[in-house]
Amino acid sequence: MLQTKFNFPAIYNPANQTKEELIANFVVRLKEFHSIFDVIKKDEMKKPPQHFIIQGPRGSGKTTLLLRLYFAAADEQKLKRFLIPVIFDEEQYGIRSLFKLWEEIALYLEEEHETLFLGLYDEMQKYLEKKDYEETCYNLLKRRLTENKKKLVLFIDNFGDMLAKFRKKERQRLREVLIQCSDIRIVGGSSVVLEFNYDYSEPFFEFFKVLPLDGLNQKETVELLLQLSETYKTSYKTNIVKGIVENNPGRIEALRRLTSGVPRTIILLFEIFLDNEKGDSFHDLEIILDRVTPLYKHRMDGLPPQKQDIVDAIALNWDAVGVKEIARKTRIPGKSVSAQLNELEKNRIIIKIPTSTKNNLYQVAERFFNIWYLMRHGRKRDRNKVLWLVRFLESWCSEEELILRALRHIKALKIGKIFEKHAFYMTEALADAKIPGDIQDQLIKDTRKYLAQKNSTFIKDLSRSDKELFMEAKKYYDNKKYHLSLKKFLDIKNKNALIYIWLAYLYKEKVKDFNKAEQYYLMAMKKGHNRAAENLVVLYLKGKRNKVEALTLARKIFESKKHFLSTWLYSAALLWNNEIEEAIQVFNMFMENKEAVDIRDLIKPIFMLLLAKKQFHFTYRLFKENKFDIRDKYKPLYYALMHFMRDTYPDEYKKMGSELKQTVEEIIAQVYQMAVDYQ
Amino acid sequence: MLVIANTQDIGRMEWWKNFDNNFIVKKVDNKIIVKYNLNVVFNMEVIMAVNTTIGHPARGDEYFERPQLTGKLWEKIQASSSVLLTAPRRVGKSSVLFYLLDHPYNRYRLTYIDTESVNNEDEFFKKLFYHITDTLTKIKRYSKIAAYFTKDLAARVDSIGKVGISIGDSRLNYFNEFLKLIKSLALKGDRLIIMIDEFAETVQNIIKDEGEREAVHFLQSNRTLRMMPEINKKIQFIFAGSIGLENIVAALNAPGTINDLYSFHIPTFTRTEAKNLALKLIEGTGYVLENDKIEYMLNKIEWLIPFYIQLIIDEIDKLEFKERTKIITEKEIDTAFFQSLEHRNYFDNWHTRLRRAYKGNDYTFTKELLNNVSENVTITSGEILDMAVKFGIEYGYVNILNGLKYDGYINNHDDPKVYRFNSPLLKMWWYKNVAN
Repeated sequence: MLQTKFNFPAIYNPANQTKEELIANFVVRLKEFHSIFDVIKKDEMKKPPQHFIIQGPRGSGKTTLLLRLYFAAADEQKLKRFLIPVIFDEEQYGIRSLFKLWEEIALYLEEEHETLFLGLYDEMQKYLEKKDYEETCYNLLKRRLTENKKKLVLFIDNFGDMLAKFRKKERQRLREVLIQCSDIRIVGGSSVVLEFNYDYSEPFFEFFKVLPLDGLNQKETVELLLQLSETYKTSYKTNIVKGIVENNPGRIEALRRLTSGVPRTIILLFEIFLDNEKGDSFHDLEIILDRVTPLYKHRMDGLPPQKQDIVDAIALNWDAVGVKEIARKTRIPGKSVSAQLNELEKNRIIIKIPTSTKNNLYQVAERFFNIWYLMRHGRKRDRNKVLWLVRFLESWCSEEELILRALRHIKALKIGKIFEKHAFYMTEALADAKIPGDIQDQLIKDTRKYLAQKNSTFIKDLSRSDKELFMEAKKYYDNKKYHLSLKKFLDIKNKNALIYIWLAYLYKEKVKDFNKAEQYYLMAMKKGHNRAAENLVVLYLKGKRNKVEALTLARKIFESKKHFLSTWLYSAALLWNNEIEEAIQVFNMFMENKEAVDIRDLIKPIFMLLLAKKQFHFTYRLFKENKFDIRDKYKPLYYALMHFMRDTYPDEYKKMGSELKQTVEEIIAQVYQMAVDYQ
Repeated sequence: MLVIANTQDIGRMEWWKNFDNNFIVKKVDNKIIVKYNLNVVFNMEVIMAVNTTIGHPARGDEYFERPQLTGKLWEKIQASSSVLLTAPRRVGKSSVLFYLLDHPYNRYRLTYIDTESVNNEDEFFKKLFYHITDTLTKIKRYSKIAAYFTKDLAARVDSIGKVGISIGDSRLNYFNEFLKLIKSLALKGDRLIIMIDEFAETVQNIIKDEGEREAVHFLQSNRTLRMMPEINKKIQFIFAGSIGLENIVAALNAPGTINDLYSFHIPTFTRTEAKNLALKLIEGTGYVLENDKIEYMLNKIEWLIPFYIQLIIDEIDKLEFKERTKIITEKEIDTAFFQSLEHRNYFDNWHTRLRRAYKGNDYTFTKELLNNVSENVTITSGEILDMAVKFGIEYGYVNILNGLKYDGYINNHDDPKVYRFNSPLLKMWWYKNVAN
């Protein structure tokens, strides 16, 4: 594997760091370190000592802290006289019983302090068949410690997991031992997140002083990154890191917030963002993801089905999401979702983010778990897989930097020395991160070429560029394949106003989905499309829904530009809202425009609406006094009016030619219907 | 490595000196020269931890002495009583036991044993047996015990290991062995005090694993032992535990098995004791806690047991103080209270042990009662009875109520007919995490 800038595998397995590296890099968690080490240092353990548990999510620095304490205890002159530090990782040793713990301690002591503890393990083995084997092991250990005037401080990683494997009687027994024994102190590390099934009712957890490792604050994050760049400066430009810290502190804060201040996640993503062209960091990310997969998978599988669905919905969203949205995606009733969220929050799988309303938002607590979830569970051809990376890039980079990053990535693809996974994921993320369409197009095409050269399986999952999708969408539209056209438009990553208008139009006219059409017209308006608002008013009018919104919007349009179309829309909306007087005033303006008056599709519906609103005399005046002789142009409308005014003009209706009868009757029927629809 | 520091760093240097001896300070001309070890991070603030002891019994310097309390307890011991220490959880029973152990009166030999993991009668007496023999063989005066082993037990020993005596277990009744041991003991005027911690937990283990009948038999065996003249002229027992023995025994309908025990109640701290403990905990740390702030803090804690006082001080210690002199104000105290509720491991047990202790309607009743009190602050005995009727346990709810009182959940000190949570902290935690 290529050497990475920060020697990441070592950072993510602190036991692989040299002692000097670990100590040099230990610049955060100092308070926690001293909380424990000060006690160890000043206590001669003449009485049963205080025991500690360091508690925090994965990647928060428990193992590093344990190792730092171990080194400090080993180096401290005052303690060397009597104290032997011992370090364990439960994962490594598979300690499943209490007697095994004593055995492993014996083996460790024999290895590290041969002269004092030689033969201890073999002595224990002599009593293997005895019923009280565990007690015997403990007594032998205790006796040897007393003989040698030594005491132990045990640094045990994954201590919670170890305890979970003991039978209850063994846990009780260990507590009995520790309550009376002055020769052993335990400092354990224990993960919190996803430990939802850990029974905090066990007496043990009251027995220990618990030090939680909270997320790093901004100062600590900066210190950590600066120190790392200093330690590994032979392979990395420290100045770049310093530059970011000094000139763009907001980025560090954004990174910290997005990672919840978990050191491992901060460092890992920091490296990814520092523009590693080769993609070593992605490779490292994959290694770490593989390592945590059995654990995370096991924890997810341990959740009941409904909770799994809820976590799935939240995790795939990456951003915080509300109850309504979760209920919609999971099809679980909202009340049930709320109850489950409470429990998930208590178990620290998710966190609640309060808002200014009573509707809170929810997010996966451990961000690295969320990254794992997206990378392993996100659908292949779904941008969700790299959603986390997109968010980071967007918060990290300005628009110009995103473009530069994309161009550098294109260059790296051309050179060819880049991991396939890195090529794929980074392209997918950049493509989604709002870079100009032509750069995005080139990025994707070059990545496709590169993956083809490598015979990579990723090629089939690589997205189309927005340009390619647009061409395909248009082609489908021209061939009247509207649903396929719609799908292609939807797949476009960076939708501009034009795309939204297309989508709205397709939903309105072809799919007949009013809500979706409205949604996309609104989005087009947000993007600044100058006709979107007008189209939306038309949608409302045609759909006979949201009359108040239609009026508000139409008024806005009318006030911003007095065009015959805006005038028409405004007067129609006014009529619909029964603001007749103003409608008439505005409509008169419309009728002054010769071009407008010639547009049948505008005149017919609004005249019918006038009739529906019983504005017979006004309409009669329009026909009589309009300078463009509309009575002749719109005879059926005129005779429909005469039908409604037959009491006043009894003979006019009779003048209608028989060829017009059917048309006029249809108009009359529509007017009656409109009177109901637009009341 | 030499560094020339500015004079404004003098204050900080004083801290370094307290923390670590890895540097030398010299004044040269008008500058201070500091020579320090590369491992010391230059900007590191000195962290002087508060002197809290969380979880395990306090001993030695950690123990806050209560001379009146221990004096009274010794009076009872000297009156030859076997004692049952009663107090809710976390009040400090085990710490008192260890204090007695570390400060024995003349002619009294004390020994401490924790029997939490024991789940049957024979195992209990076996543990007792080995513990006592182990204790006595370390005391020269009682070397006759060695003669006892070699003479009476040699015939039954399967193998002798270096660690204690290993005997074919199935062929021995350890109650009888223990009896024989004590009978043959010549203490020459001394008295042996056997302090058994988590005895009630042992009874509960036996109930769970062997059944109620076995548990009653176990209690009877212990009583028999205590009542034997040849035993009680030599040894006394002190029992303690985190769950209420009286309630367990009442539930077994066997109150007679412990009616010989003197019930010694360990009260919560007095105001003065609590204040002195708080000051002791922050001694040497640089924190400043004025009298009125102590009063404010203690008023909030209300139920003055060492555990909660330490918990709040511990939480204060975790806060970021802007000023070097770390003056504790009401704001820090309030924040510490709020943050202490986040510690599941310190509070969860109060809920989950109810789930273990009570089943079905008993549990539902208990939970609803505590939910009610957490929300409404108090509940009357009439309301409790009504609630018991609701769950169909009107004939047995009194035991549950007594259990909740003993175990430290609620009290009716102010008015016998009105119950409230002992601890506002527990009440807040319960309201937030259980009732809602």
